[in-house]
Amino acid sequence: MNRYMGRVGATAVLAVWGTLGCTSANTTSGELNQGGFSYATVGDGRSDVASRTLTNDYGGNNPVPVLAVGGQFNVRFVPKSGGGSEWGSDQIIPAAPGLLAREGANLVAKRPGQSAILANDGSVVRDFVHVQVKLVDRVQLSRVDAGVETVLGDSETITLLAGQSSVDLAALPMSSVGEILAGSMPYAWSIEGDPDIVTLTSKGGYQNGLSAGTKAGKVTVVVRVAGQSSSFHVEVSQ
Amino acid sequence: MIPVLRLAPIAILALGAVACGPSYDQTDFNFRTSPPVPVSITNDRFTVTEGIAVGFIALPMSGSKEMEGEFRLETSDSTILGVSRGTADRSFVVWGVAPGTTTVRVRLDGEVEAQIPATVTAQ
Repeated sequence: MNRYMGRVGATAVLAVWGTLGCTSANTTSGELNQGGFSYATVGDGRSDVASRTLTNDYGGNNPVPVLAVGGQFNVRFVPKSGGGSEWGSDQIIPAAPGLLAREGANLVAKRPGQSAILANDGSVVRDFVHVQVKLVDRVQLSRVDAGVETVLGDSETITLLAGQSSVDLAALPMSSVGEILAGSMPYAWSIEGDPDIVTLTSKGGYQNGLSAGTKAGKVTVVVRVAGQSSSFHVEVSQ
Repeated sequence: MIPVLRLAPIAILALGAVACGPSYDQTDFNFRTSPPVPVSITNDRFTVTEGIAVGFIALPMSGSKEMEGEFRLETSDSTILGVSRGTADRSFVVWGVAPGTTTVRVRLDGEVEAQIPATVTAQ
């Protein structure tokens, strides 16, 4: 099994289009070496943490991104021959609809497993690539200070000064073995407690901001994604 | 008249040779890819896991010789097993669509030469 995975990892890596909006493209070879596949974020206002898990520098040993069950994503294919034209989304076919299903121009991971994505023009399969899908096992919360992330422990308390402090947050969907899972998913952030103590300043999807209000007190911040949730406490002092 | 009679056995042999051209015996399969979980593609049976694809070269054989002609593999049920041509000569891609059983038809110049049972197993 590991031998096979190693081969796939070396030859069939999906590339990330980096940030929301698909501004950069990095492709890597499919398993038949007939073209390049690119992973793209959906860009519909949901979130995708793929750009955190993979860099834009693709050598031969980059792992295939692991997708979250429920995650939505987009795959592009450019054949080696054919003038570099990108194939339409209707030519990107998931092998098993029970594992990966098409929803409009996007693919949605339905249940855990491995599935091929085929570049199929209707008469010929030009190339294909396998992806892995896993369940979101937990949500890892981090606070971000000047770009430095600190993982928050379960039910940890953040202390802020009233009217002054703010902090950025990130919630990452994790597999049972600690992989960050890719795929666009809705994130639900909420505050349990007095909204005058703390407010959330949405930064979109898995990222959020937290601002201390004018009132002292303690609240709980909860984030839910893919059926899992995580929380931490915020204490605001005068 | 006598020379014609003498040539008759040769003519009969020649006709026999035409009627008994190379006959299909089997298909040789050579994998082009390494699927993430093992699959089995043989003359007796295809066994593929749902969601898994494999690319291979398939050659129709008569004895130890590759046969000429238009060679195709077809699935009898594309909701169970997907089969498509690849880009290279006599290359194919097979993938498991959903758990179940079906057959793969082996066609040479339009004639069905074999029907190979196929099983797609669940993940």
